[in-house]
Amino acid sequence: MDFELNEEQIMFQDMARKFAEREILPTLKENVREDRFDRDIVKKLASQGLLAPHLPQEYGGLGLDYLTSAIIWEQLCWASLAITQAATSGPIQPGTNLLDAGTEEQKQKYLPPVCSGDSMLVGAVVEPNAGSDSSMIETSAVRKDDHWVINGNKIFITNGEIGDVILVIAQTDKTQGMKGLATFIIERGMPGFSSVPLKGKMGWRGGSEGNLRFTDVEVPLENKVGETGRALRNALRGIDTARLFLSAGCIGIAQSCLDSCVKYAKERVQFGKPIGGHQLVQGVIADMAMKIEAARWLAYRVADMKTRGIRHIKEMSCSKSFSAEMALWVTSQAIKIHGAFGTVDDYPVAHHYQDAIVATILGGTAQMHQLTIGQQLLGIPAFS
Amino acid sequence: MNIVVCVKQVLDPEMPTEKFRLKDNQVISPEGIPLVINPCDAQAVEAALRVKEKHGGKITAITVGTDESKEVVRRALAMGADEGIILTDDAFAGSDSLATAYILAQAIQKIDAVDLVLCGREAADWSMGIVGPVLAERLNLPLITLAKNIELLDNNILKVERIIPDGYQVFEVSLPAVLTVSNEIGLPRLPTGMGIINAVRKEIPVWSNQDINTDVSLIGANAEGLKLLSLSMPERERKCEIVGGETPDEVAGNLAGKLRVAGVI
Amino acid sequence: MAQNSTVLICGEQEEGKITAVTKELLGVGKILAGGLNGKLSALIIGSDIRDSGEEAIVYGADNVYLVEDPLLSQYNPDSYTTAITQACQQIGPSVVLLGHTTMGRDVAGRVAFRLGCFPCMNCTNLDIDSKSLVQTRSVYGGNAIAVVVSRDSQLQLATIKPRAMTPLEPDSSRKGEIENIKVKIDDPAIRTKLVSTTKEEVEGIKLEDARVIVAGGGGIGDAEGFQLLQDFARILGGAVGTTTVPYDEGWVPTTSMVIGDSGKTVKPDLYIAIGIRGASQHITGCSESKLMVAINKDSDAGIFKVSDLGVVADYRKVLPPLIERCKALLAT
Repeated sequence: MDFELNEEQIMFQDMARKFAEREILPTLKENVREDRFDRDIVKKLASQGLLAPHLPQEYGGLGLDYLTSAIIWEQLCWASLAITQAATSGPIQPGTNLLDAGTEEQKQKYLPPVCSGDSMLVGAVVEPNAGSDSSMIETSAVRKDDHWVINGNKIFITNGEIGDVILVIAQTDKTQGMKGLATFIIERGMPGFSSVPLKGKMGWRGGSEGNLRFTDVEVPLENKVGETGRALRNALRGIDTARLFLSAGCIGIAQSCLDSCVKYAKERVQFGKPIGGHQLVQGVIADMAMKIEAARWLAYRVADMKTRGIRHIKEMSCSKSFSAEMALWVTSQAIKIHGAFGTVDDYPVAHHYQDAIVATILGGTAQMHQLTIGQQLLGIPAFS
Repeated sequence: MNIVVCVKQVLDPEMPTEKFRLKDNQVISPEGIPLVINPCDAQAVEAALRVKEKHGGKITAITVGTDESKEVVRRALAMGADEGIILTDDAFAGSDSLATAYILAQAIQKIDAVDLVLCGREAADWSMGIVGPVLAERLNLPLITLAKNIELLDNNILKVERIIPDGYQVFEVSLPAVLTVSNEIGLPRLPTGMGIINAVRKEIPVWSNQDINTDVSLIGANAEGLKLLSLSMPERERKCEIVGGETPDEVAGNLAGKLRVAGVI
Repeated sequence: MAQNSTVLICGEQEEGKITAVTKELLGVGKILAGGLNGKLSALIIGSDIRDSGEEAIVYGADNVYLVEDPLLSQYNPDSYTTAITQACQQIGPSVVLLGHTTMGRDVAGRVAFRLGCFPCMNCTNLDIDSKSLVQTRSVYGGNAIAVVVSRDSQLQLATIKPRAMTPLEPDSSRKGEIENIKVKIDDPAIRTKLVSTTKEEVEGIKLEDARVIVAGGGGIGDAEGFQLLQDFARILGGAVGTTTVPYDEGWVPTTSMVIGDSGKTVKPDLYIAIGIRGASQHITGCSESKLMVAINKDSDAGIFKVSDLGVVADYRKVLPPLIERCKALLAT
């Protein structure tokens, strides 16, 4: 068992961290305050080779293994999970979905511009009445002669307001439930497609979310991705990748909070000594480090299993859920260590805390993952 | 344009001062802090890349060192250099700046049709800054030191802005030439993803003294020009009185008062 | 080359006056010549330099060699390297000293190579111990001090760090011979051409001459912050300095404001370091200031360890009232 990162991983780790420091941190405060997503970062990530590390080189990615890719995400999120998520989500879930289920023409047409940052790809699954339960999807796709007609709404869609190409999961036959679901490519500019930004978020600030509306959008037949009835199955690997990266990202934000706490606890003097000299503060900082270490090695292990093609349903749920809950705890403790200063954006902790809350929901709630882990252990599904 | 960049691995000059330790007149490499490419050498690579971007060509990064030195060459490759060469031989160990320049010169003469040789202004360890100048002598090439901007004109003439204490001078020099690059050239670029992938997979040739035929009496520890008598940490510590106050204005008033008492304002 | 016990300093002149570092070279050269029981000679290169030669004697030279040539009227690395090398060969000194200046950094390594000796660069102290030149210099970005001695004591060459050594008091009663020597400079040997020199003069007092320096580092954050420092420096009759970070970030216009390893060395009466972390690469350029004051919001910053007075605060909050307070005090 080799726990050492290899030379390539160390170089990517170092480069991604420096990129985050140079390109994300300097404008972070303003972007978060104004809840503004700066699309330039997508291009910058692409030219640095950090936008789609896990996608194959033939479509513009780097073809890296999942551990190296997760390490990159961890380092980028050290600056901001919201921004990293918005900037790179295209190649992750919808990109992987297209790679797994798309025709060669679809892949050649859509993936290279996504990997180069010229086009933003969006995955649209969630609806007002369909969150964790995708069988409730109401967006409809009706076959008419030489095209499909799409109607419905999607909400909480990353880059929904600015994305160029949308991968939409829609119901072709209500009576079929999951078996009626199919995936379609909708391009911005198609008549009947509109979007509005999602405002007033408590987290994910500086990222980009939107709600989508489809009113009699006519989609050519060649824009259907994969077979009807396999939409969710086809999306699974992308969702799995998104969960891994989210897990790594939570480790990144927790690490950033720990770094800030260590520095602050040495600087801040109260009751005659640096607060780091007070036992209760030291205790919290030690607990932070413990949890981060545990989360990191679990995530790295899952990444390695995924690269090797080893079944890892239980482990991925453990990792995603553990990392997100760990991050929520670490970031909230970090605010307390910074005191009132922690609630202001001169320090990174408040931004990370807000993102940690969202991270406990995105990619499946802790409860959904408990049920997945439970089913894997017991063989008894708790939901049907 | 055939460019050679000389690079060296050093103790990270950005590491916290308190990690710097000496023992028996030697610097102890602190644990957990990896060696890095000498910052001015990274800037020399950056300068080479800028020339290449405009005028095309090939960049070769070269270092004198041990097997571990391949990391510093890989760094240059990841930034965009095309080739790397590592010069390793027991006979090279302990070489000082003069000897290192000689070793580099012997190697560079083995590379075809070199137009431009770039070195960092100086190394972050011994800061002598003489490898570049002596390399120019060894290669019998013109030299411009402390370059902050490089531009290739027609007729193979290089226009170089050279840093002086209160501004800069502009020099022109015909290629081939040797330049030392100063930190004012700006932040070196980060390696790209493809750069890293290619760099770690690239075979980096290792040349020994057999390949470059140096006169061993002129290199290595025995040929050192200087003998180290002592290496110590400077005494700079002062007793710092922290000036306090309830409000910024009060702090300012207290500090201003102390400056007046000290007679400096 | 026949060696004698002469210490030869390579002086520099600007518009007929010898430069500050030349006086420092003469100052340390005198001590070394005493240690060697030899004489102190000065070499000056250029055209129309007789007055400089006389000034060198006033500052301690026992004799002066002038190399006057139209080809040397303007500094050129090739012609100056050749001229200094040939002059050294004719004079045969046992120690050659240059300033660690624009010229010294350029030519010392090459002259040393041509003369067959090892150059020791940027020395902060020089001494003689039984005919050997003992050279002290700052290494590892100012983290350590190395004392070295040349293995070969036949000929030793070093450059000295500007402002590190003390000049002698001028004494116009000093007498010495001024002698012209000839060197042969081939045109083909001159392969570099100086096209122009641009001075990026900073308004107000020069850093090197300022009694008070207000210096800013990475903690300043932007160009506007430096405006505040300028205001403060103006009130105090001082100059603004910087670490490398603000120059790299473009907050200050010119590299001539940089203090430290890659910039200038200063010794003001008052040095106020604002938002400066205290990396040894910077401290090495200002550690000999009489009074060091640090303003930094990070109480852990190394700068406090090398300061006499410290304020732990955000400079944006404390500087405006400090400027007002100083203004009020200076008005009384």
